[in-house]
Amino acid sequence: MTGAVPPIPSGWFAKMAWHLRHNPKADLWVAWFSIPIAYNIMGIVYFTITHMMPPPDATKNHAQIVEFFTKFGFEIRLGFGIMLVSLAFLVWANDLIGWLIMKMDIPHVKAWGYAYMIAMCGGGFTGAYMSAFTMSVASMRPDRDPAMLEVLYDLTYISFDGTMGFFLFGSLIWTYTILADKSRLFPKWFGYTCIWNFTTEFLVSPAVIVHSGPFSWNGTIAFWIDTVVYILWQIVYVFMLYYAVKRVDPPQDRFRLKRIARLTGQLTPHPA
Amino acid sequence: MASPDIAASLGLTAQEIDKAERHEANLVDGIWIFIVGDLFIFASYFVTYALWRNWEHGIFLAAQQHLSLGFGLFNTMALLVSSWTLAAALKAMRAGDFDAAGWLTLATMGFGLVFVVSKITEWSVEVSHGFVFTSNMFSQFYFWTTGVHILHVFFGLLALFRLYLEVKDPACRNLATAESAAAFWHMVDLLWLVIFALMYLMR
Repeated sequence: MTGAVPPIPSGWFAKMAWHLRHNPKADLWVAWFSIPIAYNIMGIVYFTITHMMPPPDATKNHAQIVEFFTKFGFEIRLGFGIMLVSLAFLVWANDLIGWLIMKMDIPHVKAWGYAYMIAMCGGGFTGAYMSAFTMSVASMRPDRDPAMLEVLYDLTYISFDGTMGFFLFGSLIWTYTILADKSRLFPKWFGYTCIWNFTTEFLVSPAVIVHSGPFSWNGTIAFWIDTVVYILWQIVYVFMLYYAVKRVDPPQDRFRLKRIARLTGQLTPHPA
Repeated sequence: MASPDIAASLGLTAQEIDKAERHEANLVDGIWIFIVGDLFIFASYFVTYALWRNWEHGIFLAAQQHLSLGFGLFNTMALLVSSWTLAAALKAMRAGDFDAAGWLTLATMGFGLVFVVSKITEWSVEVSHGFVFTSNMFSQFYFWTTGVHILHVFFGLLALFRLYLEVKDPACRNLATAESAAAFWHMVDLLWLVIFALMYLMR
C-alpha cells in the first residue's frame, strides 16, 4: 500500500465516499450532517405527523382532549416512533458542539464543553423524550379515564416548555464561550446572537402560569415569535458550525495523522 | 496577519499564525447585528401589545392606573443619565483620559443599579397592592415586558463591568469593546423609552 490518494471524484456519492475514506475530518462532517437531518426530522414529526405543533389550545376540556388523542392516535405513535430513533443524531450533534467548545481558547474549556453537553441532555430528555413518552402513552389507549388523558396532555406541553431552562443555560454557555474565545473559532457577532436565543428561552416561562393569551403555550409571544426567532437562529447556527468544522484542526490521533500524511503525500509506503 | 518572515522571526507556530489570522478576520465586532435583531424582536412584542390593547381597550386603560408615573419617570431619568455618563466615558477614552473613563463607567453602572433597585421596588409596591402577573392581560404584558427589559439591563451591567476592567488595565484597553458596550446600553435605554411611552404615558 502506498501513500497516494486519488483525486476527489465528481459524482455526489463518489465524492461522499472519497471524503469518508480519506478526509481526516470525516467523522466531524458526519456529526455535522446529523444536525440538519435531525432537526428536519423533528420538524416534520412535530408539525405534520403528530399534530403536536403548533400547540393546541391550553384550555381544551376533557372531551376535546379525548378527541385529540382518538383522532391522531396512530399519527402520534408513528411520529414519535420515528423521532425517538432520530434523536440518536442529536447525540452526535451535541458531541460535535461540545468538542468544538473544547477547541476554543478560553480558561476551563473542558468544563464549558461538558456543561454544554449536560445542558443539552437535560433539554433533550424533558423536551423530546418526556413529551414523546406522554403523548405516545396517552394515544395508545384513548379510552382511558379522561382525567388521566388530561394529565398526560398537560404534562406533554409543560415538559416541552421545561426544556427552556436547559436551552437557556446552553445559550448562555454559547454566548460566553464565543465572546471570550481568543481563537475566534466562531465570529463574535454569532456570540451576540446567542443572547436572542437565551432571551427567547427565558420568555417561555409564563406558559406554565397562564392558560390563554399571548403568553400561554400556544400564544403569539410564548410560541410563535419564539419559534420564528429560534428557527432563524438555528439556521445561522448550523451554518456557523459548518464553517467552524471547516476551520478547526482535526484531532491529532494516529488515525488522522496518517490520513493527513497521505493527503499531503508524506506517507512512507506501508511495510509489506 | 504577520508576514512569513515576521512570523518566522517571532518563532510562531502554524497554529498560532492561524489563530492570529482568524482574529484579524473578525474585526467587525458584530454588536450591530445583535442590536438590529433585538430591536426587531422587541418591535414584534410591541405590535402584539398594541393589538391586545386595541382588543381589550377598557381593561388596559383601567389597569394602567395601577402604574406609578413617578416611578416610571424616575427610572427613565436614571437610564437617561446613565446613557449620558457612558457617552462621556467613551469621549474620555477617545481622549486618552482613562481615569475619567473608569469613574464615568462606574457612574453608569451605578445609575443602572439604581434603575434595577427602583424597578424591583416598583414591582413590590404593585404586587403588595394586588396587581400581579395574572391580574389581567395588561399586567401580563407589563410584568413580562419590564422583566425582559431588566434582563437586558443585567446583560448591559455585565458588559459595563467588563469595560471597566478593560479601562483599568492598560494592556487590555480596547475601544471596540467600549463602543459595543455603549451601543448595547443605549439600546437598553431606547427600549425603556418605548416601554415607558407605551405603558405609562399612553393612558
